[in-house]
Amino acid sequence: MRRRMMRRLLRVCAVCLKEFLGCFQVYVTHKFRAAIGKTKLVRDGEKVLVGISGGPSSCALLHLIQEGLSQRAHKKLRFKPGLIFIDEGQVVGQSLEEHKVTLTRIHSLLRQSGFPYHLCQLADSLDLERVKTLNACQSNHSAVNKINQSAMDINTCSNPVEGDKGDVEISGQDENCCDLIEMNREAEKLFAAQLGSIRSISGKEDFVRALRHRLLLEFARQHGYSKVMLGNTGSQLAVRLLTDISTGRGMQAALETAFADRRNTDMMFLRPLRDFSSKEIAMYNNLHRLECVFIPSLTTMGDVGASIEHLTEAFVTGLQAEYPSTVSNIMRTGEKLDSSSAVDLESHCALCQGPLDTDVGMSSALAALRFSLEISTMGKTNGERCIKGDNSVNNTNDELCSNGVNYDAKVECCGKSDGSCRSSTQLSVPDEGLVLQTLCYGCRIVAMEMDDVNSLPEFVMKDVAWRNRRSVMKAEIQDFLLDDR
Amino acid sequence: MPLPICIEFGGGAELLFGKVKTHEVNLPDKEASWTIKDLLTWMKDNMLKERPELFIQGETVRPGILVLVNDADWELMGELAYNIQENDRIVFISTLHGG
Repeated sequence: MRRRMMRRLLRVCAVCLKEFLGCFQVYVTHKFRAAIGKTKLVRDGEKVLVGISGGPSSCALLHLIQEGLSQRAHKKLRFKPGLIFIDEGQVVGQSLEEHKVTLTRIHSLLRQSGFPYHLCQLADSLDLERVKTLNACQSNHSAVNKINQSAMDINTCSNPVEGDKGDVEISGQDENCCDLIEMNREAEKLFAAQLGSIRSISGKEDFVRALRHRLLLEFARQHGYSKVMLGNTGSQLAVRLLTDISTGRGMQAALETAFADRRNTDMMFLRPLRDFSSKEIAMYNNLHRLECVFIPSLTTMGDVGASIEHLTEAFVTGLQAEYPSTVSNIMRTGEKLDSSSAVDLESHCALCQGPLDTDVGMSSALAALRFSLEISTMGKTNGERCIKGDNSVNNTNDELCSNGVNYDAKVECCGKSDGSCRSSTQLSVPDEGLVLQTLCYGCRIVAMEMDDVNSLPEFVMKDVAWRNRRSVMKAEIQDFLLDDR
Repeated sequence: MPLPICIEFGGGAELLFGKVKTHEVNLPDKEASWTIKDLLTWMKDNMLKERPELFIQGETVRPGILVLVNDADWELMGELAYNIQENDRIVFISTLHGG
């Protein structure tokens, strides 16, 4: 219905281009406002972190927010945006020159917006502690700000039109921008090694996405944002939905494509552009002459089958060209999907924060896969166990498994038998099986592709250790626990 | 006489054309009038630097690449059959992820 209206709109308006531009502007603005207003999720004065990649959809999002907040807007938007750019130049191996050009352009884009903004690097997500310290020194900055200026400037950089103070900070940020590459050499190296060890491009894309999500989450938490806004368009989300299903992330497909992603209880990810097609966004950018920054991806200039996502995209856009309702059909179908979101911390994937989908019955495909994996690595496993001398070759798989866990639990316990392992500071290396237990099916595939599962980011390993300590403790006090039932 | 037009690329499509976004070109003399279909063939032979299959599929552009003629969607202008006028501005924008 709406589509047909739009069609008619287009035909009428094509007669007079000026009229058309006016109509189109009203149409886009209305749709954007409706998406935000309808759900009533964004409250007045709320701090919202807006993820800006520099690509077409985030440029359009930024522009729409600017328009919505400006005085001339009919019904003003009332939230307080803060922008974040995550530098991923390293993922695609951009040369230093290209990288600098991109960063400079992004920087000027963000500065012109007049909103507080942050620049950070994808590699920062590997060392969240470091992000904390980095943020701390930035928020010291902002603490001074807060005292001297109005309550609005809580962030690292403030609006350039606000006078001397703003200028000083911007010059600081300029250095920051250029130093960005030097600053995180170590994390960068680690990141390159991890990314390099993942064999397939699909796996790399998944990994990068998980890190990006985690970094956004952490950043928003530490800077007091309560929502994160992303610029995914409907076309992108339709591709995402099908990709998720084909990479074994069906459980998260609904979350990944919904307007509000509530996988984390304390943070909500919003996608206000999900009702737009990429074409509409491109038209909007062209209409407003918005200069977006081109960010290459892992599959740029690649074959159609370079990754699962790329192949799915070719499929969806190909279908869309012939049947214009393809994307909206996929999205409407996706809306009907629902996965019960778990509240328990331990039932979340340690890497992607999605719900854990691996707690399934004996006769499931996953169990069958696990079984065949065990069978095929049996020779090796048994050999190891024999050397350790705590298992006989005749043990069944189940026993093997449980013994394995117990054995590792002992390692985790920092050697003290009084159960004070919670205070243990050293991070021992957990067993591969233990790590995999904390991951969802999709992330397991990624982790299995890596040379060494233990080279997963630090935050994952910490989570693994934490969960392990918890389960050990729980087992210890099991006899004293009251049953809920 | 030659037909001067302006061809622009965006969203990553410029990578296939020597990373240059704006091209001022003169289409060579031709008996019949120039249509977009002719233009695509001409671009493929004269402008496209690499990987033609990433820009052209069959006779038309690859799905996901938006074509704008003087800021209007080419679907409104008759797609491949549109007769190119002098000083037209034709924009190719890739809406695909990563160009």
